Amino acid sequence: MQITSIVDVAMMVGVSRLIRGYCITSPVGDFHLKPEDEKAMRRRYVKKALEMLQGEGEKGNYKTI
Amino acid sequence: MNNESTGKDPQNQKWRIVCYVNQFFGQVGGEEKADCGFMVKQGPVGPVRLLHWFLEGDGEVVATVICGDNYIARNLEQAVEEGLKIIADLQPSLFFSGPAFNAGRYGVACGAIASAVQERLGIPAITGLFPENPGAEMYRKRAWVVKTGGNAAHMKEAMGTMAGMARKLMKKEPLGSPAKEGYLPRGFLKNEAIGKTAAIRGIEMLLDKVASRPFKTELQIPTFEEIEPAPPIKDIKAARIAMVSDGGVVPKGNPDGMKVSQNTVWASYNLGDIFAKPFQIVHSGYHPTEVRENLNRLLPLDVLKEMEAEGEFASLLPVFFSCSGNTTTVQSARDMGRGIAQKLVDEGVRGVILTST
Repeated sequence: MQITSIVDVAMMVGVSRLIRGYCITSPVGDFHLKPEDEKAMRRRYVKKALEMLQGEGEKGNYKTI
Repeated sequence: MNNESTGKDPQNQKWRIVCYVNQFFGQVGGEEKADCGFMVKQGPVGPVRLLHWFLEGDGEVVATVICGDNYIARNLEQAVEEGLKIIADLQPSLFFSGPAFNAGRYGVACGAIASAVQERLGIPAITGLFPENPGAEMYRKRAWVVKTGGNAAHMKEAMGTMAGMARKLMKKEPLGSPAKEGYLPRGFLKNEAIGKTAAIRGIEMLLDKVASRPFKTELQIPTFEEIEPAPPIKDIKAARIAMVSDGGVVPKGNPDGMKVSQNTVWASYNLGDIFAKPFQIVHSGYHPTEVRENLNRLLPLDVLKEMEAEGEFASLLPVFFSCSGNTTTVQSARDMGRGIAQKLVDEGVRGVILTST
């Protein structure tokens, strides 16, 4: 599955398991947060990613954490 | 000695043409001869005779340079240098390679040699490739690449187009658009004065489309092949997971020569090493400050290691696959993706987290 903030491009090429990343320069990390909070946020992304790998692919859609 | 303005030999007023073909079209042999090195045969050989016929009156194929596909593919740079020297010694004023249609090794060889001739000998160098041939994307901006069909059944048509382009280039006649002349776009934008404004052309195109009349788009939107989503992972706790990223992370020194844009290189690197030792970002499409401060923001190793220890999945592949995804062509992305996917399958990976900047 893919984590990227540029979801339009991902959907255009047909990605079927897609999470909107935090931002272009930091897909799985909100650098404004304290380190432990950033890591907790990263864990939510990865947990969702693993969930999506266990589900059916769905083109033209994405999840936001 | 050639007449500089037309490339014709003042002795017989004909262009000196040299052609490159592979071992098969050069009538040396099939795949069993693909390792043969360079050789030169006098005059046109095999299908090059067609080219000779098309250009009769204006040009003469004085030699056919032949080499095995594997010989070139094994060491492209060195082989191209070797071939270029042979071609230069023949003193052509016009050069052709192929056509190679959709043959991968041959197409790359044709494109590479034609590009070297064009750039270093300063003469028109024309080849013919099917648009999906990897050589087409690699060399269409460096040599003249005529668009061909997918196989040698299109030989006569391809040679005809190549000869037609050669005439125009040698006579320095204006060349029309790629679509009109039959060559692959070279990346140049040329302004043309057209009577109607874009607004009027757009509306007319839309009216044609709505009325099911034929219309021609001015801008070709790339199409993407349909890829069936992989089936869900049934038992995640037994699954091996891997990370892939197109954020351009490489060990310091960029050992595999990844490029900051239009990249075609991918590689795998040990996760332990990339986090413990100096690394660099080879990607000119995003500002790397946040990732440099904490690589987990691109490769979430910290949380994946924890989740692996907790048994959320069976194992994390100890290496990750890296490439740089900045203005990458669709073809290059496809090739890199296929290469990486095969390695993932070989490593028993069931699920991938791909992070992109």
